[in-house]
Amino acid sequence: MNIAKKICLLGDETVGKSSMAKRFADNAFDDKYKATIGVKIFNKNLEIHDGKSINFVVWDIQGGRDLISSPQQYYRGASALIFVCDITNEESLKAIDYYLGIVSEKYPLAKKMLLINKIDLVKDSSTVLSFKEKHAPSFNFIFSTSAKTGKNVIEAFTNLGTIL
Amino acid sequence: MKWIFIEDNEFDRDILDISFNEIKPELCADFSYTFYNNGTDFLKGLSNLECEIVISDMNLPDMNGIEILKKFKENDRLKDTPFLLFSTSLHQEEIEKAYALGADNYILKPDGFKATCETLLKIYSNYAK
Amino acid sequence: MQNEIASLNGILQLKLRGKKVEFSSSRSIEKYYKENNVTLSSEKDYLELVHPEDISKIENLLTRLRSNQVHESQIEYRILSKKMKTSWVLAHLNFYPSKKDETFTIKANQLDITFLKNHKTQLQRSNKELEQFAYVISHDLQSPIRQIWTYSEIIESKLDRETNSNLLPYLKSIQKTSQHMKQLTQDLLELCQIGRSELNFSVVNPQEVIESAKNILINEIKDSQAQINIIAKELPLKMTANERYLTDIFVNLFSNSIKYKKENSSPFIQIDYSLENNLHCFTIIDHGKGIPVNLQNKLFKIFKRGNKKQLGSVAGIGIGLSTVKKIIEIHKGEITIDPNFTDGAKFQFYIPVI
Repeated sequence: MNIAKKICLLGDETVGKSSMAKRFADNAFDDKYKATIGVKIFNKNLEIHDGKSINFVVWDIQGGRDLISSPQQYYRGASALIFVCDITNEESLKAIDYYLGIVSEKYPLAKKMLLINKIDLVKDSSTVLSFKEKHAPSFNFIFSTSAKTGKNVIEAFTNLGTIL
Repeated sequence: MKWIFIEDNEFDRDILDISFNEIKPELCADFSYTFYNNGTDFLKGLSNLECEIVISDMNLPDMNGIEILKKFKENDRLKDTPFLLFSTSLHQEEIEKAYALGADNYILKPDGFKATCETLLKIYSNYAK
Repeated sequence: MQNEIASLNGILQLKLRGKKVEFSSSRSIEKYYKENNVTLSSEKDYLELVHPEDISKIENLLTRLRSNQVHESQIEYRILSKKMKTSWVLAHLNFYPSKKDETFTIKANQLDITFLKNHKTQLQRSNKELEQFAYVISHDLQSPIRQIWTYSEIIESKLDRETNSNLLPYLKSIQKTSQHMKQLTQDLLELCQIGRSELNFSVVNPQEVIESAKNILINEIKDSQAQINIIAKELPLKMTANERYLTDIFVNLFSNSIKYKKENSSPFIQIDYSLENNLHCFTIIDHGKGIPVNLQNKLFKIFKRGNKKQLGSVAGIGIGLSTVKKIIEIHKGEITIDPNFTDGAKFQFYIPVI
């Protein structure tokens, strides 16, 4: 049985939303940075467990905290929201609270997952741990990921799939 | 650099004019743009078209942006030229169809003056050589 | 008899003594029947001109009156003249059992309401036209509103802030007002659209829907220290509905209960559920100010909010409850307020099981 679920990515520019979507859908990574303009949709079918298969419809949008980047139409009908931040970019970590603020009130039914991206660039995991602890109550799942190496990407989506 | 806009709404064209004027200092010296009011006129001149980028509204009086995109990308000479779509809504089927036909971006039409300036600058920094 | 005008307005009476039935009627009705070649001297004669589809309705009511199930009732039915002209009649029946003997009387006041019925159809048609009109207007207003806002943005950017700083507040006002207009037209557009477009139904968990309604109102709940509890023994895990609209129903009802709470106390809201006749029945009870009985029939009409004296000063646009009603009707359900519940407000709505 195959169900389609809309997932929206949100986060600051350059955190790796598009790379995350590309790694998940195409299992590919492009080192060159190309800013996303507008909206793009990635599709991938994933088997969650026996018999249950989900067609992930991942919506990617330009990053940023201004209103252009967070229009209501983008989020409408989303089953889950994936927040992405860059562990090497402190501003993007702080921005998570901002994005939580925008969506919690309007889309309370959507499941929330936090991806702490670019984990391949980090040696010391203590900041990651404290960040995870701080945000644990606001999210259904938190994962450290690397779109570059692929670390935890499939795991993150699979886990999300179990609660969709 | 030459841009083409396919936009039938007079007000939206006016805002684009004003926005381009505003961001002019940040654009290259030979920057220019042209408007088309509908798809038919644009497609008529396809064989002679010279431009660096096309931005089309999804909702035109005679056809929709996807039809124009399709004909544009079927043209061997022009198929590598960036073609962007501006839309007032985000419908999954339309977005998927657009990218499947080779659209380079599908953008929610900016609302207001500041938003238009920012979007145009973003497009410029992405596509200017 | 010559001075009497033939009409369907008048009184009918049935006096029953054992098996004997005495029938009498006003002269006006007699004359009407006479003009239709019927001598009105009994119940049977009366039924001769009643529209065949409505006869069982009347007989049913008479049976209920006779067997003491009701003492008073109203009924609408059609009279078909010999020339095939249809008239609508509203009859108000009273049942008087005699204290002494076995006799009882049924008295009916009947009124020809044909003109009212025609008007009602016309009104329904006008209502539909008005709705479409509202839709078109709110849709067409969006563009000019956008333009006002955008041009004021442009002016603002071109103003020399130092020399024209006194003008900035005016521009800000223009922008604020146009944003407000944008919101109003969007709300109106949404209200018109409920029912125009295809509804997306999905399988939802009512408990989750109620939780999310509470989340949406989290600030109002915190500020008023409202308590919202599910008292139903069991909520279904699944039901078919439009998730967003179902959430809207609860948000609206909770929001109203919070707004119309009793002074100096916290809103206390209870949700009950039962499955009856293949219908999902939800009951929302609050122990607030309640709604005065004379306002209850106006409750679901747009923009009706009751005056300040009756409900205290409460802010808010009155679209809420009429939106709720519309949403429920789209689900082929119904919503009512219990007029006998006086310790606050008791709303009940049901949605057919799909």
